[in-house]
Amino acid sequence: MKKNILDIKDLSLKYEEKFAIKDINLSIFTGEIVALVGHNGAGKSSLFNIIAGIQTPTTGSVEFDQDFIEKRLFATIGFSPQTQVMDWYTNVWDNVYLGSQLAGIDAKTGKLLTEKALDLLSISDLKNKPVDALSGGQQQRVQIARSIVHQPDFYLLDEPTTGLDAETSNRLLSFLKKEAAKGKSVFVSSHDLHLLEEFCDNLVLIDKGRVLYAGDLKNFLIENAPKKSYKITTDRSIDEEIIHKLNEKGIAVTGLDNFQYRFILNQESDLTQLFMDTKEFFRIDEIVKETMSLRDLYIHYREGGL
Amino acid sequence: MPSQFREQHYLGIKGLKIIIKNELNAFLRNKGLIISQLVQPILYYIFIVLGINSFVTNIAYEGKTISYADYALTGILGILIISQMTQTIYRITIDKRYGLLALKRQSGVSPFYYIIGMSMYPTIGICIQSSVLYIIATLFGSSIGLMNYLAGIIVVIIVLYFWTSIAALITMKINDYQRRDSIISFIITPLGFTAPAFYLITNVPTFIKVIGYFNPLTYQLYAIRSIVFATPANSLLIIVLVFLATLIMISISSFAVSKMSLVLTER
Repeated sequence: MKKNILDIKDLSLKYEEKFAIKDINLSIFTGEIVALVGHNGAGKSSLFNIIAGIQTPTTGSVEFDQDFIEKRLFATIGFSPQTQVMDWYTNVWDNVYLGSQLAGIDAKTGKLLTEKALDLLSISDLKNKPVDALSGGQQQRVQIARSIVHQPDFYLLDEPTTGLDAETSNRLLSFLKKEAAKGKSVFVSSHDLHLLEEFCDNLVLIDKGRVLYAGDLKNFLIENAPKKSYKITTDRSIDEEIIHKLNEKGIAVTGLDNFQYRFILNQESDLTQLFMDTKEFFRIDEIVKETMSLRDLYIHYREGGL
Repeated sequence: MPSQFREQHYLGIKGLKIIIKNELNAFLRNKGLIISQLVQPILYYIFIVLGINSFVTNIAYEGKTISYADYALTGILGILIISQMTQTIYRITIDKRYGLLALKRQSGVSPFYYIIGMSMYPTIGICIQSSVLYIIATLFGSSIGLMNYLAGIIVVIIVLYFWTSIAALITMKINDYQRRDSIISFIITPLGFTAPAFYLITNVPTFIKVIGYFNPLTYQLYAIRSIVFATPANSLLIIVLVFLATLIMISISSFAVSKMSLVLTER
């Protein structure tokens, strides 16, 4: 049975006259992997920093379930911020091992867990290298390894896939999915929306510091996808002028591939109308009604479509 | 609230152990620094002490006649203590700038243990430098006994913690890197020379005396010398005072750490 482990109530953070986040109410349960989505400056990092206790909110509260947090306090959380938290005087091993030690784990177990974390992030061969000799992506792996080395109960990862290759990102999210299946909780932000859609159960959509949606990710896609979205194959490419004309008629057109486009019709239009409107410009060879991906839907939202 | 995690000092004494171990690793990984720490006392001793000793052989200090080289050797220890402050500043700057301080505090490292732990890097440095200094001084005919010198090193470490706590305080309170570097250049470096490291405070012009009396290092050098040269007067009292001053300074720095806002990145 799922248990509420984190309750955020009426949370706001104000910098001078501007709200970084405003009136956020949110709950996170055990066994969940929750995606936090929003554009740059939407308030994602501020929210994560408050949950981790680095920043103090202007108003509102963040409460962890007392049984969940027990006496391990911060060690219950595996926090990877967006910025690199790293000791530049030491090497990869030292940085990751430090994470295990700060979680209060004994030296022997800490060493084993450090090996595991290095292996998960494919940086075992770099363990003796100074961190300033690594590439940006490798440093990011060290940062994540440090934050997850103690296998916490609550993973709080702010854009962990930035700078990671697809294979490592996939492995990391698979690992987090398995951890969630064990009853742990994951709250993760990323701009890789395909990855989030593949691995996450729930979605928190944030904009200008406010939560626009918090709930089941699949429901979000179903509820918010435009009802009239079609993948259409044409007999020729459609130039900008024609796209502009169709836009004026309330039809949004996005190029997908050679002669393949996404057409989103407004509420007043239908397929008959579409054929009428386009027949003078091109021929429609194939038409498939589609559901939108999280990425497509998010872009659609950013363009004012929701 | 998660922002209260840091107040519970969950790690206890283990927090000190973690910080010390990490500082030890940071020191040992920095080969260039180790070499410079080895070379620095040799250069000081050869070019300053032996140079001056060629025309000032013996001096009268606290009712004893001692060689100038031995007197200046303890002065070098004072200069080295002050120069170790920069190591604390650099280490805490890394911690503060890259969010490690926030991480350590949130994880439950107490401010007191943090200050003590972050002084480990300069402590190792001063121990190495003191050993090198003793070896080279012995090679050049120093008459300081090993036991006296080792006892003196204990006082040196107490004094070091006074100055590393000030260094920590400077790093906590000043966020502007240019100002911090200016402090290192214009205050910390000359600090060693305004105390009687290489001269007798009784024999210098009044204005130097006045400056010297305002410099804590003057009294700290007095404490170190009282042990190293086994002078008869007031050594216990001055050592107790030096120890108390260090405790007060550590407490002030710890308080500053406990009150500072945590950041993950410093611009």
